[in-house]
Amino acid sequence: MSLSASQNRAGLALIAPASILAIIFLIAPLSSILVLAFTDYQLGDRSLRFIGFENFQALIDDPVFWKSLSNTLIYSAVVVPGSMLLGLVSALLIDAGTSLRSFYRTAFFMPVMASLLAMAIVWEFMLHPSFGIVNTTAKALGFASHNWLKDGDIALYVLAVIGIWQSFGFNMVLFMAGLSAIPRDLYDAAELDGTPHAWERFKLITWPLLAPVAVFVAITSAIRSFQVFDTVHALTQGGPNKATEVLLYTIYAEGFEFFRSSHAAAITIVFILLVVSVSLLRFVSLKKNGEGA
Amino acid sequence: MKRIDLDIRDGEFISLVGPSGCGKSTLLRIISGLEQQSGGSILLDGATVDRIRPRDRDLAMVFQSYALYPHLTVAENIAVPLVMRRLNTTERSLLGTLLPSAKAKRKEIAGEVGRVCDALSISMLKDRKPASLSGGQRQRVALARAMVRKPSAFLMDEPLSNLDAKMRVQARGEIAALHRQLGSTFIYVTHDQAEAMTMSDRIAVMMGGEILQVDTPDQIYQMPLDLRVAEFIGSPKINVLQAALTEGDVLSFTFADTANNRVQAAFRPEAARLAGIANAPLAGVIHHIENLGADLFVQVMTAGGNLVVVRCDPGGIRPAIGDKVGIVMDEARLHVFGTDNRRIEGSYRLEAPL
Repeated sequence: MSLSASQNRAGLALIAPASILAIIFLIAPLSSILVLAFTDYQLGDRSLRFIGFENFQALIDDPVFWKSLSNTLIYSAVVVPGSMLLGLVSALLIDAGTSLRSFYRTAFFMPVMASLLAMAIVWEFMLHPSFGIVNTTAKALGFASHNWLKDGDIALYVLAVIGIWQSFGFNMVLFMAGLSAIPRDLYDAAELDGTPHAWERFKLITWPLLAPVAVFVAITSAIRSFQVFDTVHALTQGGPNKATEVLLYTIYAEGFEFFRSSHAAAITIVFILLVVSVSLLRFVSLKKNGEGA
Repeated sequence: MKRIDLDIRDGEFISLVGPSGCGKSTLLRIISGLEQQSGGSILLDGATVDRIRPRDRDLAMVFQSYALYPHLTVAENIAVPLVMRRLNTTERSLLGTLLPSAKAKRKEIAGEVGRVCDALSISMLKDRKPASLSGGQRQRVALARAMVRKPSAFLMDEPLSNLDAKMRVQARGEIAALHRQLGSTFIYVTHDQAEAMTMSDRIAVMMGGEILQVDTPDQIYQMPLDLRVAEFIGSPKINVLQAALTEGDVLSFTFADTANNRVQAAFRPEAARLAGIANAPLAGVIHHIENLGADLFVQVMTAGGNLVVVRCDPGGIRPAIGDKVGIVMDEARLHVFGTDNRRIEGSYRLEAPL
């Protein structure tokens, strides 16, 4: 089928606004990063030179980059399951309860809306080694106190706990939406069919029917956890001794503290690949679900 | 709901019928235990089950939405009641499926599921998911899931209301046949009086949270104890006219406004016939004629402004719209109700034509 010239023009005119916006805000910056990653450009330089894969070669040899990448993955490995589990449990509890539902929903969603930078300062006070509420409570209960943010062995995990606290409310809201889509009749049917207790009903109905939501939550949580920056910047600046160095913080430090723009661009490419690969995972799982139904 | 006193016999097919919101579904859910009654007792086989969980009442339910588990295949859906009751927690778990006892039980369950599927001729659907089934097929799967456990009673909550008219008539016959074959008690909730009439041994007509009458379909149709029952059962609707009783048992439609002994007279369309004006206790002008092929329903607008429907034989003389006609009722099939809607028993004569 061939389109007439006027149909062609109309078609182009219709896709123009979206494509122009996509070019300005997405494709142009991304391609300039891609180009920059293959040059020796530093912020303020008047000229630049293409150096091929030298930036990437340098990354491979750079222990800080590897530390940063592995820290990011460890952080995600703690935050994603943690915030999913907490989000799911709180969604189930709120859904099962009858009173104060909107209060709990709002309260648990608060950290998502609040500015994380401001909240980080609150956390800094709470975690303060000498007068923070965490240590005073630990002492009162007879536990050892820690210098939470200055101890290289635990600092990353402390940040992960803050990350869970910050993001589980978002997952909770998504799970609650998923729960409300499950017909009540199914639970009635399950009761008459003889499911002995709540856990069995969860296994029979809730979890399988929440699976699509859970996949979505896992992937958005993973992408959001890759993007951790605010708490690192406010609380540890990547320290102590690179123990909390994460990808986004490394990019920031390389680009805006050491002005090694091309180096930062190369790390950005790695970061983008990471995000894209997780997004592809979602695409694949959606396709699989679509075939299964 | 108030004063519900319903005695259901073993092996009986009883329908709870009434307009939406009359409490029939709530009553069914209370029998099943999914909802708690605020007072009174539910007895099964003579023993109270008030404190017994729904799963332990040995009842199966077919829901209006069918409530099939969407992620399980037809065979898995039907197997759920057996899996939940026969396998213990370990055997149901992921690792437990490897246990020899679990394997043996699952094999046995698969056999029973197969037999139920054969009985309802849905064997070819076993590996499909509910989403890919038609309404009629889903309804059979829901029925199979209820049957597989051989419960002492089946509770059905409007199981046919999501089917199209043709499927519904077919499914009606199938469910009635199933009841005869299984011999179990069926409690069937519907708002469709035709379903109740065609399938039931007995019908309980509910309105406003109250059971108005429990009787066989014939009794309900021919001897309604309440005007609301008479109006709900039967299509087209029973004719109801204001009347007055004179001389004790003479029914007059041409009564004075001041007349005492006001009653409501009701008669079904087939209990009346058209006649000449001269011989009729009631007269009017033909307003509309509904030709259903087998029946001719003639709507007559009476002088008093009431619309009366009369069934005519399509083979006889065809009346025409606008004709002035008289209506003569069969005196034996007249129902008289008081102003409180209760039936007034007795035999009545029609007032002689003027």
